[in-house]
Amino acid sequence: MAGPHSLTDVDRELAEALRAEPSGEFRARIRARVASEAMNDRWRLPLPAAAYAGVAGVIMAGALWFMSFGQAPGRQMRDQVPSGHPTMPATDTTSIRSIPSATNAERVPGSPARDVPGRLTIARKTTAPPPSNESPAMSSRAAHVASGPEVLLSDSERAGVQLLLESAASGRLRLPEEMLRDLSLPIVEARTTISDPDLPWVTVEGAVQ
Amino acid sequence: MNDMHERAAQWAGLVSLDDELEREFELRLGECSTLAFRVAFSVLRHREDAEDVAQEAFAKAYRSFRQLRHRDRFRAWLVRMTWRLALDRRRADLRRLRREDVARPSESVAPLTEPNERSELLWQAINRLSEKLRVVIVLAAIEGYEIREVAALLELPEGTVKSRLFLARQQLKESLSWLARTR
Repeated sequence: MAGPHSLTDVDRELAEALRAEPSGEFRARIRARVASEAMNDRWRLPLPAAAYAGVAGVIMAGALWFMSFGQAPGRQMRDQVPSGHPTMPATDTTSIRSIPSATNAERVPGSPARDVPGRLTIARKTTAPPPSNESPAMSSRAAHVASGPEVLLSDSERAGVQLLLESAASGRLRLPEEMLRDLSLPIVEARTTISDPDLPWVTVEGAVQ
Repeated sequence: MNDMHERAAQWAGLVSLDDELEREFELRLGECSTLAFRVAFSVLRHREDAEDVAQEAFAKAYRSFRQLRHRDRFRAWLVRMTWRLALDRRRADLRRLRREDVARPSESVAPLTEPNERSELLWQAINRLSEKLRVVIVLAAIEGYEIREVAALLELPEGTVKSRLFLARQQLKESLSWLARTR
């Protein structure tokens, strides 16, 4: 066989080889195929991106719901220590009671109680009358916790607040006058459970006065 | 005038954007279907496979047609897409043939080339070219050796296309001579 010898021959050979025509139903097949396809819209997000956005939205909504509604009831559930249960472990609670001003702060008297550890409660002062079968201090305190809003702090936060107050009391830290005026929350490390008479109240409220 | 009427109707909401896109795509399909088939055929040298690949390229083009900003580049876009799809198809075919060849070494593998000996020599020589040169000479042959058309399809400068076409033809001629001597 003799191959093409000139460039013109090569060009002609190649053009002939590529002069193939598609079959008659080629365009009809393309139209049928295209009819089953959908044109992408410009605004349409890709499916994975939309799915990720949806999941992120659900997670954020859940987190917001938990922060606004779910947190306080959960903590309060843990606050409910059965008072008459002898086998419950001792726990610590530190309570900051709200008193109108530092000068007329009401000192919470010592009272037999059992600790609930790791919690700091800031409770607003209340005037609810104590139940007749409890000591005045305990019933007053119980009424504070029951009626007023509680701010529950972790151990580290509690330690920070205590350090702040101690520093202010010892003169190492000078707080502005208006802050001292507003700071009417002496810290009381309270024993919330009534069953243990050996554990006294420990108060640090004098530190800010 | 007709165009003005169409635009006015579109502004008045009588013709939807989708209808207009569908019509434009139909127009492109009529213009470019043979070109896409020939591009695929130049790689695959198999009619049915080339039609399948061209069809796939049109389906892909249709899916993204709305997002194509420069509609005047549709031909170039379609040609490149068809070329890539055809290469992928050929690689897949070769892998499958190799696997079958390893599994059944006694059976002969059906050649992809056409039976004509002269044509087979030509395709062998084309396949010996680098891909850059091959796509230029194939498109040039399809487009009647119009440098400007090939440059537009490949979105390359005309000078680049001209030099690549010259190189490709030289190498093709040498390969054909060598293949004819050694056969």
